[in-house]
Amino acid sequence: MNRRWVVATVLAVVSVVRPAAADPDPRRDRGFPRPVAAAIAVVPGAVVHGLGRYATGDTRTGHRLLLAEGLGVSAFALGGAGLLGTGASRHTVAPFAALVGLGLGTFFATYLADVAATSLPEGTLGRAQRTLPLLEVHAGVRVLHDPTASYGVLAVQGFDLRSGRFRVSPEASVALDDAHGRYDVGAAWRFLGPTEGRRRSQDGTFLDAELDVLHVRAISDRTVSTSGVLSLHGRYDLARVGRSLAGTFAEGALGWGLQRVGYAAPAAEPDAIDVFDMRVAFGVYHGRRRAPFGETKVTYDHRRDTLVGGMKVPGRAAGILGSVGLTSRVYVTPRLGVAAEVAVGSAWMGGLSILWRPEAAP
Amino acid sequence: MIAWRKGIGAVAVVATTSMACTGVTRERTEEEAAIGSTSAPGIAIRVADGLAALRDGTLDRIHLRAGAPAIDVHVELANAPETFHFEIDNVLPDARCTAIAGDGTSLFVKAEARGRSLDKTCDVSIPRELGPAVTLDLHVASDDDGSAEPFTFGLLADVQEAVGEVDAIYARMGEEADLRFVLFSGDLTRGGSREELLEFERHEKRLDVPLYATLGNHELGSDRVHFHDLYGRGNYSFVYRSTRFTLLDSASATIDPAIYDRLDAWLGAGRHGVHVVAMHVPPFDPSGFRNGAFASRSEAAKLLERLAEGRVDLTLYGHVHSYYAFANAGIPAYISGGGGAIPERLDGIGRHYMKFHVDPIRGVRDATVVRVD
Repeated sequence: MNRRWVVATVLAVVSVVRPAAADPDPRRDRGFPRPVAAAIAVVPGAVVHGLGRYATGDTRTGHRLLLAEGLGVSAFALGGAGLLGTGASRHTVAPFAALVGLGLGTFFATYLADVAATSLPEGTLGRAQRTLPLLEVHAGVRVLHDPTASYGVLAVQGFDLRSGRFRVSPEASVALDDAHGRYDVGAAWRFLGPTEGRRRSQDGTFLDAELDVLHVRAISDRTVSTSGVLSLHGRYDLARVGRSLAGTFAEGALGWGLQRVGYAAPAAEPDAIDVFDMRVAFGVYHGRRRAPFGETKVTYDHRRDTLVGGMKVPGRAAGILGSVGLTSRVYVTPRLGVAAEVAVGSAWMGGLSILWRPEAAP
Repeated sequence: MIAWRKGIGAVAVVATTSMACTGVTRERTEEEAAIGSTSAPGIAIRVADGLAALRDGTLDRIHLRAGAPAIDVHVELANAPETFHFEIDNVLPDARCTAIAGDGTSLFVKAEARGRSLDKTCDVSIPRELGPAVTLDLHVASDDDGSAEPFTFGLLADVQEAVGEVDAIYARMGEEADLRFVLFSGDLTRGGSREELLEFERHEKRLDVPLYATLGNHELGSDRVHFHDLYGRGNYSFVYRSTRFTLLDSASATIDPAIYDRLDAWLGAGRHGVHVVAMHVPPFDPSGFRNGAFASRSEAAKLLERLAEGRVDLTLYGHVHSYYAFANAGIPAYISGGGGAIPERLDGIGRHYMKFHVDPIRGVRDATVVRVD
């Protein structure tokens, strides 16, 4: 019985992730009119993912989304059962929590992909940038509403500098109304996917190893914190699941790190706490090779040492959830763009930045 | 076209974030401020610092649950009866009641136990000469309340659905000859309903020492916070034998911003003596992967800096159903969630409680885990 389940699971995974080379032409919808298909994708499709694809006649992609939903639900159930059965034991919580998070991420990605592909007018969804520029700079402002914080406006500046597969991404956020600064340096190595240079990747799918170091100086709060986190971060272009999903993608990240918190109080000693990095996201591309182009994604971030922290949910589920954010980056010219972001955790944050790159995409 | 894109993104975010309220604690913190005070035509009652829950009352009787070893009750009567009856639950077994009128006259008090020694009736005789409008102040405390003698208290948390089996823990506590009272750091019940809290209290009556509690996240699972009605405030502070105890409501994985000012005052008052702080959800979980802790690590760090600056001697927590001994910001810390709720596995410990021996002059001298299973 166990072997049959393993074989069935492997077949299910392969059938979902196998590139959709032989899909029928997604540009010709068959079946229900698009508004009806969209309504089906949104409402009954919230339970049975892929119904929108079925409704437009793309049954193969519908099958794959449904299978992926099943895998996501199974992962969530397995992780949840593990957490309950072990009482969230300190020894096993990480893998079970990862299963829950990735399972939920898969669940929502399959739903949102179907809704996006069915609801958005044809031609709305774009394509990934298949090479990346040497340098991208961003500068802007973030506004924060945090009942426990003494600052509310931060000036943000940072850049991504790439050389082939390597990227370094420093960013500084400094409060304009209080003594508070956040300094983040990230470095990444890309195993596959779009990189800087002439070589063009197949699509936006990527896999990175990331090292992120975050240093926070909360002068008013008399605390200093430094986190170092090592993660694997990947994106999967959902066109590989079905051509009718072209323009959508799913992301996930898993990692571990350590946070050191220092205090100003005499005789206080610093604390060292593990950091569990788990992020899942769903997004869409805008435009193609020429401006305007960009992407928008909604992300769940499980970390608690971020600017917004985790959600304060009413009732018994207090402290369980991380934060949810929506980010959108659009280059309106080949060199100049704008980024907007919203995030909710223990605080609400909204941000707006100007994007600049010194060269157009090759 | 743009509207569709915005719409999909907005629906996804709003649907999720409608759950997230950065002000989840505001309503119950505002509600809590009224605990311990009430008025009706002919009578006004105020318990100092809100250290008791007013259960019910009439023009000649009130029923309270004490939230501290010593309480002061101020009563204003427009048409005073011959005798005013105070029914006070959860007092120290050797607590005494004394009363004075508004003009300083000492009043005769007849005190007797109602069932167990922790539930007392203090009948205050009011002379007619004082007139119809009378103010009286009742003080309930044990004779050792102001001393600086060492003492022992217990710690328990996280009973929840295991309330039917908690008697074994209370029986074990009953074997302790020197326990003065028990601190309960949250999750008395599974869902926080009035019925569950009353059942918890029925079992609690088997204890022969008082129990002072704050609420946990499981007390937030009902239509309203019934804990406030029956047990009182979640944020409060009291002094016993020169040792300050502060209990905070961190049930929502945060402290309400309005509490920080009161916390600063309590920290200032407790700075030069022994100060014990207890709450349900800890600022940091020793298992960072699990993060059974504050929702925001920034806020957690800010709180711990305050406690360290205030020279808090001991921090006590529940929420995690196991036992942890660690330090936060250099302050000794214990998580003791051994009341019987779904336990953490693979941790080598089952149901348990802790006891602490305090010397008000020299500090917390000893911390012991007592295994029940």
